[in-house]
Amino acid sequence: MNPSDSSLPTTPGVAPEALDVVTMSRLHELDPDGRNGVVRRVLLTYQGSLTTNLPRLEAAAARADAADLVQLAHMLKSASASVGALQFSTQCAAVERLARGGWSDALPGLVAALLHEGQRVQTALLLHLRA
Amino acid sequence: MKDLQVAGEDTVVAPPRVLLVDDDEVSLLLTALALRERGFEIHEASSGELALQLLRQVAPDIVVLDAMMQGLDGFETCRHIRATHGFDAVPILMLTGLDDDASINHAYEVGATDFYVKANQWSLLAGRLRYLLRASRTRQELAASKSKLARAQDLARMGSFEWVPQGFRSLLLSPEAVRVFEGNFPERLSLLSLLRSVPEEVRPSLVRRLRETLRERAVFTIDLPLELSDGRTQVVHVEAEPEYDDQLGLRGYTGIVQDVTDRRIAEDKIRHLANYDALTGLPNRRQLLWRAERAVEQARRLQHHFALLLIDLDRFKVVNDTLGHAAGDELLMEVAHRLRGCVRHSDQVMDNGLEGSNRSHRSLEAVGRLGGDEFVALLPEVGDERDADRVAKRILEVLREPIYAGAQECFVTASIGVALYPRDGTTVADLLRNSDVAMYAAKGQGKNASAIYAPALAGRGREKIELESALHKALERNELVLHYQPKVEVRSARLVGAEALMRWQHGGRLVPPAEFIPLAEETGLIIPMSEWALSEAARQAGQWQSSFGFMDSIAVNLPTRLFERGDLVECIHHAVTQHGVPHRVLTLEITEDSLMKDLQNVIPTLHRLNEIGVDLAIDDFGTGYSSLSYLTTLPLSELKIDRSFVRDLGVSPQSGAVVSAIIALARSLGLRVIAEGVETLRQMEVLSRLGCTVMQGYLFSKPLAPEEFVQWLRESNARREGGWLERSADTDSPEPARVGYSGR
Repeated sequence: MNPSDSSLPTTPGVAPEALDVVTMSRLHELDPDGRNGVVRRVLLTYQGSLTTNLPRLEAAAARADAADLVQLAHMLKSASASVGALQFSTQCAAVERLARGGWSDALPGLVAALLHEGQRVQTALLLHLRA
Repeated sequence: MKDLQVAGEDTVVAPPRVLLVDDDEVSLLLTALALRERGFEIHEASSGELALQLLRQVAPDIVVLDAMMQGLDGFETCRHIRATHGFDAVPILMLTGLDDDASINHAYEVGATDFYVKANQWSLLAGRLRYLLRASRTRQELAASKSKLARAQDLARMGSFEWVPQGFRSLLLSPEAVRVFEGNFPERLSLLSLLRSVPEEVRPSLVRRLRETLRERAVFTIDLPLELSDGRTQVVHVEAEPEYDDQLGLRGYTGIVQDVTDRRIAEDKIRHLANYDALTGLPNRRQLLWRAERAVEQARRLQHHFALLLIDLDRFKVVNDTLGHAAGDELLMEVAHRLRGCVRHSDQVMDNGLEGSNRSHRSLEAVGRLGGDEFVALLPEVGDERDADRVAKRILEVLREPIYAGAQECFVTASIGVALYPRDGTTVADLLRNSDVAMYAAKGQGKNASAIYAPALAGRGREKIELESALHKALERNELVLHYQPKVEVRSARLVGAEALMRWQHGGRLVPPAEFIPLAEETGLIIPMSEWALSEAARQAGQWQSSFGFMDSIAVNLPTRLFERGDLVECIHHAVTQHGVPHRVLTLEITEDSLMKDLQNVIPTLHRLNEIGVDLAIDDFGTGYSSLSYLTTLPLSELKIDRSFVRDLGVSPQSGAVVSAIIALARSLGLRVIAEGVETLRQMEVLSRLGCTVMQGYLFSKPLAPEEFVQWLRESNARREGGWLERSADTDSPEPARVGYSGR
């Protein structure tokens, strides 16, 4: 929801960064000299959240549990937007919106794409945390 | 940099405490970091359940609550917080990713204060939180102030109301106002049902005033009496002012009501105390004068007569002095009661003008107490003086019945002076003065009578004033003299003493004692005059001692008021030592009446006088109605039989009996007895036969100036050999009897 416009992909055909640079820089502003390790704590927390919740998403889709999908997508949506996983957040929003109307045959495809993007975000996170 | 909340100019307050609730760890962490950075104290809860657990412990100033949570969601958590005691007013900001109407409405329904769409714009969130905290603080202050106001209104027994002219139940009372009326009226009622509680006699004027107020859109203020359904009467102070709409049309009235029943009762009491005499319950001087002023105004306007009757009790002082003040009060109360019955007495207290018909001045008619034993009857309209005189006669008549006071029957009469407007005065002051003149004329004519004012009476009053002012100067101008009447022992035909009698040489004539002694007593001049008499008598005794060997005593009359002075003994001591004579040259004569007035206080003084050698004689003995037992306790030397018994000797057998009893009593107590007012040989002879041989009276000599006294004595000595005692006792001799003086 409400991601920064500047971070949205604008060039068709080019895959955007999994983690938005502008959002990441805002995160850094919370702890400018990095003394408190704020960014690292946030990213680790987010990583933990993805590790826990991506399998839950997959399981919910397998069970065709729309309600669980709504909850999980909603939660991941705002957290992802906060750390700059804007593409992933947008996809969460799409899943949440659709699942609110109950189970739909279009959901498994959307969830599969979401899980794929989730993998991309996790890779980007690993790179960031190692840096 | 962390900034602290700054309230006012210089008060640094603690950072606001925020309970942050979100089940998404990332959002929770980020929001907490951002808000801490902006000066908030953050307490985190990762679920609704945990938030409820932490609520009391944290006691947050504000709760930030994620709407969508697993388990207890934000809406349910909000509902629980609101239901928790003490947190019904804490601001709750609902964070939501949802911006649909249903969620927003739901948030408000469960008691959220506001909602905020989740985003990374932390400054906006912090600003919103500060705004909510400020609003909450303002709301709290408002609530506190409202509750204080309600409390203050309750304490002042005050409440507010609104009234709009349209609608059925157009009067709306605040809860405080409902309490003012003690539940006798509901919160909403019609003006008519309120009017029904107003006493019938007040209703028409109230409706009139309400109509006027509405017409003029004026402010409305009134003290309204109400008859409550529980039977009590309440007085409510109402103040209301008009309210206007945007087009300046009258929307209605708002105002306050206040229960002023107690104040009104107190005011009525004060007004009553200020206007009525506490003892008799009659209008007092202030109220009487007020009524009299109004009566004069009315009489002038309507051209009729108005009468003022001044009523003064004749012997009230005697009752007060002999029976005590409590009995005196009882008597005044009964007199007041009887007087009320003689006029169409109206008790109404009036501070405002007279209302109503032309005959309303009749309500001024009253009898009131001017003070002491003086009463006034106001007759606001009389045909002529005969009407007033009839009322005066009725008053004298009702007082004729004995009054039971101090456990005994008393007979009280009154003297009444009548003054008539406009003939005898056109102001209250004139009428009062002239009724006073008439009243004194009635007293002068023997009391128990009424007199109508006449200008000739006023002259007498003026004379009295002139006399009083002259009497003040009599002492310094040496106008007072003492005359001496011999006391004679008839068997030996010897002088045994003299009584000093005061005379006043004024304006070329000798003013008789009956004219100036009462005046001297009234004005208090009797005290310096008596002191002078004591000194003068002592001086005279000294002079006679050296000129012809006078060894007896001179009796001086002592007024009661002299006893009121603590230094009477010193005064007498000074009088005799000043002239080098012994104390015994003075005998003090006290009337039985005055002795009885204050017997207990007088006794010590009498003993001291006796101890220094001053003889004490009881004057006018037999006329008092006191018990004789006191005689045995007093250091007396002499009883003087009252002249009234002596006068009737040989005429009425009772007098002989009384005199004989007095003589026997004096003998048994070892007292000398002397008869005064002896004018005939027959009286002298009877007295001698009864055993009283010391006498005083015109038969022997009138009171004489000192040089005449010496002359009389010289002549008497020369003729003594004639043996006048042997003259026929059957003839009333016009010629004074002769007596000798050999000096004992």
